[in-house]
Amino acid sequence: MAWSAPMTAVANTAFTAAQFNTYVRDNLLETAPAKATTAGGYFVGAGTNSLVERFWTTNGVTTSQSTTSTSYTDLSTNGPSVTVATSARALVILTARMRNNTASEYAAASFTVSGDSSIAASDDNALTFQTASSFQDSQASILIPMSALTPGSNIFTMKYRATGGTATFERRRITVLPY
Amino acid sequence: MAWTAPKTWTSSTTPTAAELNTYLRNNMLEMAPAKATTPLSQFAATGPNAIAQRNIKYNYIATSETTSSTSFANLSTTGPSVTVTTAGSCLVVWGAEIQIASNTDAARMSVECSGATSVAASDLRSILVWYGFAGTNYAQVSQAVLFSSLNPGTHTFTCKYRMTSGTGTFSRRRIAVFPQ
Repeated sequence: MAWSAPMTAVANTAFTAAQFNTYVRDNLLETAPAKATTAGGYFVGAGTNSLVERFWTTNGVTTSQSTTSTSYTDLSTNGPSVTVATSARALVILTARMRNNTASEYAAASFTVSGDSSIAASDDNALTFQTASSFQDSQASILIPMSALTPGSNIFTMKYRATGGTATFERRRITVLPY
Repeated sequence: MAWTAPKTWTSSTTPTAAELNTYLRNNMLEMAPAKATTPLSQFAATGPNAIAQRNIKYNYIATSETTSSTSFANLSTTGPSVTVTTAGSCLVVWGAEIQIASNTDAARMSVECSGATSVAASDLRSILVWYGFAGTNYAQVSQAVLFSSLNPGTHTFTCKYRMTSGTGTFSRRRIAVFPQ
C-alpha cells in the first residue's frame, strides 16, 4: 500500500469504507510504527511520502596484518565487510590502528562497494597515516559520506595499501549508517 | 497505548467510538509527531510497531589537563560524559587535541560505558597517538565506534585516558552520542 494525500472532509457527505481504507488504514500502514520491526532501527525517507527502516551495521577484525602492496588489496584476513540495504546515501566510518616501518611512507585503509554498486577503493575515501620515523603509530577513525551509491544491497569491504615500505593494520573496523 | 494494525473497513458498517479510538487515536499517538518533544532528536524502533524519541547528546571540555596513568583513568576534570537512553545501540564519536613530549610515549583516549550495560574503556576502542620525534608532538583526532548489543535503558558514556609511559596532555575533549 502507498501513502495517499489525506482527503478533505465535506459536510453532509458519507465517509465510505473505501475512503477509510485508503486515507486511514493505508496511510497508517506507511507510518514509522507500522514499519518498525526490530529495536535499534531508524527511519529515513525512501522517496516522496515514503519511509523505510534502516539499521547501523558494523564489523571488525582485530588481528595485526601487513602489506607492501602499493595498490589497494586484501590483507591475509579479508575485510572486515558489511552488507547493508541503502539508498544512494550512506555514512561510512573506517577505524584502524596503522603504522609503516619506513620513514615518510603512508599506511592507507579504504573500502570498496560491491553488490548493486561498484566503487573502487581510493585515497579520496581513506584513513591514512604517514610516518616520519619507525616509532609512529595511530589509531583513529574517518567518517566518509557516500552519495552516489546504486540503491539496493551493497557490500562495503575494507582494503589496504602502503605507499612504500610495510604498512601494518590492526583493530580494523567498518561501520555503515545507511540512508 | 500500543499500536494496533489498522482494520479493513467494510461498506454499510458504522465505525464505533471504540474503533476510532483504537485505530485512529491510539495509533496516531504512536507516531513521531505525537512523541516529539525536543529539537535535535530522532526516532528509533524499540521493537515491532513501536518507536521512541532519541536525543543526540554532546559534551565538551576545553581545559588542558595531563595524566601519567598507565591504566585508563579520569583527568582532573572527569569526562566529558553524556547520558542517553537507548534500545540497544549507540554511535559514539569522541576526540581531543593530544600532546606528547617524548618519542617513546604513546597516549590513548577511550570511552567507558556504564548504567544498564557496563563496557570498560579499552585499547581496542581508543584513539592512539604515538610519534617518534623527540620534542613535543600534537595531534587532534577522533574515533567513532558503534556500541551494539547494549541492554535497553540508560547509559552514561565517559571519556577515559592513559599513557604507555611519560605524561600526556589532553585538551579540547569532546564526545557525541547518537542513540538508537
